[in-house]
Amino acid sequence: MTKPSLKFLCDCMAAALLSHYGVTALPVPLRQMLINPPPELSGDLGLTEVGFGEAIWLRPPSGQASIFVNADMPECERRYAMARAMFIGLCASQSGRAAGLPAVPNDDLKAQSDLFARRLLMAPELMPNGWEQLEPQALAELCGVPEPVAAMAQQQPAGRGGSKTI
Amino acid sequence: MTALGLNKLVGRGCISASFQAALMDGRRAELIRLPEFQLEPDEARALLAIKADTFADFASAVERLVEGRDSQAARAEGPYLSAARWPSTASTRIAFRHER
Repeated sequence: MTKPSLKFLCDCMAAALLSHYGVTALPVPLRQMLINPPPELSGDLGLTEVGFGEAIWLRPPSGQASIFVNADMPECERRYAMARAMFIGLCASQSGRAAGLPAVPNDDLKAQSDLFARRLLMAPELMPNGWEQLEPQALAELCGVPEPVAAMAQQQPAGRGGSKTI
Repeated sequence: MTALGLNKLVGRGCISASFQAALMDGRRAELIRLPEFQLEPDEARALLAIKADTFADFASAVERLVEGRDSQAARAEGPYLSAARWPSTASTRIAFRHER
């Protein structure tokens, strides 16, 4: 079995999710995606707000998986952490596993989930012309991501969020 | 032309096991005609020609298809040769670089 690259799968999942929710403008409505996930992912994704930690994807013995996120985190950091946790839920889903998403957990999970979060929250098809020249702070506010994440995306080749092989 | 339609198609399979199964179980021709993907005729033909045992194989083949098309587009936009007519009666071939 050959496996597609993770970057390609991240772009594909982002495109499909944006299409499913009819997203045509930034910021990406991540909270809505998690509260009301695509039907076949309803057992793999959900949102539970708690008052500790950051964001973590868990599947309790009940079988209904959810992302447990600290509601007290700043909005942009919470969104980014939720997107990273969402990636883990997608990797654990039946369709994600069959598509060749990495098994979780693994040693590269941070880099993998960072890649997905950037490609979803800063999807190339939603970015305005000249976004590479914006101040990182302005870009971060536009996309609803932490400023270092916006700055990193601007440093990546071709403005496509990077092509690092993971 | 972008790869967005192809990305959406593979992505839909990543988030829907039933769509994934239908793509691999003989309903591919029907699914790639769905308006949400807005696939060009050549893209649809290429998708129908993919032989894959698993959805990961299929996705990998689509990735190669996208890469091949991107590199074709890069060549088309890159330096190219064109005949130029000079004030004299002689013509020569000069390389131009397309400004982007």
